[in-house]
Amino acid sequence: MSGPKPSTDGISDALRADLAMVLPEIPCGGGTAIEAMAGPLAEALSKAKAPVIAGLGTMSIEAVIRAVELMRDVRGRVLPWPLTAGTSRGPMSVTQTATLGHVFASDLVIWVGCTGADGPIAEAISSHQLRAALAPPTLEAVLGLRAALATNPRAEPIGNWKRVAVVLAPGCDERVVSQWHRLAAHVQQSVRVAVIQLPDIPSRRNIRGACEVITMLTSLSCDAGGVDFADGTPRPCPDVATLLSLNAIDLLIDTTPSPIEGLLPPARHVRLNPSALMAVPSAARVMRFDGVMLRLADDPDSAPPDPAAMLFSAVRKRLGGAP
Amino acid sequence: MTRSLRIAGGRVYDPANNIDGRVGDVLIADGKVVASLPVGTKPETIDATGCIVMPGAIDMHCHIGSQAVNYARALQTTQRDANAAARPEWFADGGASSSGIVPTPEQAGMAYAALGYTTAMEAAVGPIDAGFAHLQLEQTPNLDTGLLLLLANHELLVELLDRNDRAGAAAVVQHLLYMTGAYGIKVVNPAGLAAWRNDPAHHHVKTIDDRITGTSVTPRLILDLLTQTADDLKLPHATHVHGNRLGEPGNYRTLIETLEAMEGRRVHVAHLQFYGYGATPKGRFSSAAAELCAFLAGREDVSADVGMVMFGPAVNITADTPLEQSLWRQTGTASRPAVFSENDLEAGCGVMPSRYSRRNPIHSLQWAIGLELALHTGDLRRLALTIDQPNGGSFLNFPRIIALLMNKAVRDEELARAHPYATKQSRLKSITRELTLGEIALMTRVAPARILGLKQKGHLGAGADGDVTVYADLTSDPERMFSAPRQVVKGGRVVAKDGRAGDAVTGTRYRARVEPSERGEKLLRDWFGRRGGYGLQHLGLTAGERARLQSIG
Repeated sequence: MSGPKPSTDGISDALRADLAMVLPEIPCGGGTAIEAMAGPLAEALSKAKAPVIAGLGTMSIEAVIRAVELMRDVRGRVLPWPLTAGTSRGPMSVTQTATLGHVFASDLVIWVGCTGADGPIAEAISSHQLRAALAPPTLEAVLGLRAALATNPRAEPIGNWKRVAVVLAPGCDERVVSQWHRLAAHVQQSVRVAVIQLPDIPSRRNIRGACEVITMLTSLSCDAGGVDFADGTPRPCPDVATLLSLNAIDLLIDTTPSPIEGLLPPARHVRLNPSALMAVPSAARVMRFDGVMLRLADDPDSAPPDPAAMLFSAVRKRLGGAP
Repeated sequence: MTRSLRIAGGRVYDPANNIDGRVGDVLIADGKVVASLPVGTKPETIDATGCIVMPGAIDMHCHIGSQAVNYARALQTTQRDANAAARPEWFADGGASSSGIVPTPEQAGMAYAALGYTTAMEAAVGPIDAGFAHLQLEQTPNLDTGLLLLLANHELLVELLDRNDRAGAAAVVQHLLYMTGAYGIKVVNPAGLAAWRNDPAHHHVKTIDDRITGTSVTPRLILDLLTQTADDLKLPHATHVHGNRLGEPGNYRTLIETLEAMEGRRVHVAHLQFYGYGATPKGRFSSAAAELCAFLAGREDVSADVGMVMFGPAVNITADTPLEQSLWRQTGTASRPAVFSENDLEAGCGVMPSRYSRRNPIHSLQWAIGLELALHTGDLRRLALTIDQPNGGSFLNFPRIIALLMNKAVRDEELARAHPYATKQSRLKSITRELTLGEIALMTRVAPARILGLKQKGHLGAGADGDVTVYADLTSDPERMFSAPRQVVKGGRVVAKDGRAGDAVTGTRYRARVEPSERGEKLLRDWFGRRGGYGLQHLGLTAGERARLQSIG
């Protein structure tokens, strides 16, 4: 079988291009610094009553699984991100989305508050489909279009096409996002409209993967912020800002890109640099914003293990849990 | 040292070996059933005196590990009423974390084991989701598992069939099965999703000869390709078909037309109940269970699973997105959060929490048809009991379904509580048959093992897997009996006692023994270059991951 050709640094250009849609840079973490963290981390966790790990979105899927297992053992909390991961109002009434391959095959792309030049994902979309329309990221725009389609199913710019992709800018108002999904759902019988929202790659990274893993392991969505194992049973818990305001953290394991502030002594802040937690190549995976899993190596079978997964396994072992 | 177990003195139901309630011992050494234990071994003993002993049960069509299942888990976070269906005490953690009827992999493994199930097949995974599905199945304890790969609407296959390159299409099927570590081929609404993708205004596939707009490809062509390829590759399991027009009045004729067109090639019909619909003169639903069963009786090459529905919460999970969109529009959109996703031109995905109500005439009729199908079927080696977890409700309903099949009084009582439309439009009330324990063993053990081609499952002969369920003999109360097996043994180890899961064991994941196809890989690489949303290297499993699966076939 012929695989992708590696470039000089051991990573193929194809892999680099795929990972650019998830990671702001190619990480090369691991090494002794991470291994040396196992002892202090285990000791800190053994003394903590309300530990929190925040920033799981900076780690691989394999590492998130190990982190959730560890925090379940020590009855702590897991937060994919300091801020709420999804909408703060709970799930949307309908989600009408697609993976990137479907978007590439659309007849028309409607850019909402962004353009085809806004980062690697937008550039990939526009390299497949140049036929485009622009729409402002406002409620008026989407509600106006929905009303127009209700009276005339062939209303422009959607009505004359068979497959349309709506691409929303990062940070778009949740109400606008929700209304585009509703519009898409209501016209499905005549136009296949799919809605995606571009992620802010530097801040989101593997947030989709972290949320999917947490849901897989707990049956809970991360809409509220994260999951709390304090009484042995996973329950939704609020985001880190709320937990800080409640003084509900005595140990914060912080893997976010920018250190979290506002923790009051004697609570302890353990900072793990996210660039050290992931390595390419490694035998691990991340999930793109659309749910597609991507490997962190051209040849995962011969790649070294994921550093953060190793770290959390080592900590768990030290604490007497399953390795 | 040989680890051995003697399950002593139970009344054994092993229909595959013509044993129907004979008192005897079941011996297990090193995880396998043996005729006699090696000399000098000192087995652990389970005293099964006065108990019923059967092979471990198999759920051959369920949704327990895919991206769609994870959407369902997230959606049910807000569907707290779904708790009503779950039996929290069956979950290892006390159940409080069970927020609905779609459990985590760990909960699923524990709860299935507590019910006496030791094998389950994830019934619908698109190629793009195979990696995530395997991750979930890997996290599922106590169950041997596998996954069926969605292939009936893949754009590349449609393209190759349209170019009349059938050999190329077969090579792509082969290579996708290999790459994804799949156990078999799943068909969902063949050509229907592709038609919808190409021309949403004219998408509805009504017959197996309707064409996908702009192509010469029909459901018949796709089914021909997939059933023939399954036979050519000697896949252990027949092509697993969810056909066109699922859930529509009169659709049993479409199913019969589909099966007749397969000209004797192996086909398994998924969740038959959803095809058991006749039509009244006014176009409303009626039961066609008897007609379907009469047709299937003469077709040795066709198997099916029931796809029962039970009153209470459910979650619709399907790759048949046109169907799911239609349900979403019909059933009131505001109160039902739903997720629809288009997956890289290969398959669809729709997820929506739901509820089957006794007060609903159609739901009541669906419930009755599921029972009718089992009760009208003579050869229960070809009809497996399933609930299409969680489409027809939770798998935790299996004991109740068994009680309904074994006891007419229980059935009549439930029918009386259901909407009268079920009595009017089905023949359930007139059916006096009550299934025996041996027949239940056929539907829950022999049939699914035989249909899946798992020769080491579904029986207790020498060489079978050491998967055994021991029930208290409560035949007068089958629901209680099947709700809480005394002991459940997986690979020779006890994993549940008295309806509670205990020590978990790691299950085996199966894949079909399929070799890679050089031509298939080349065609896929080319298609990924033109149309794919990600690099082919990310698809499915690596060689190392594949090596951890057990090949069957």
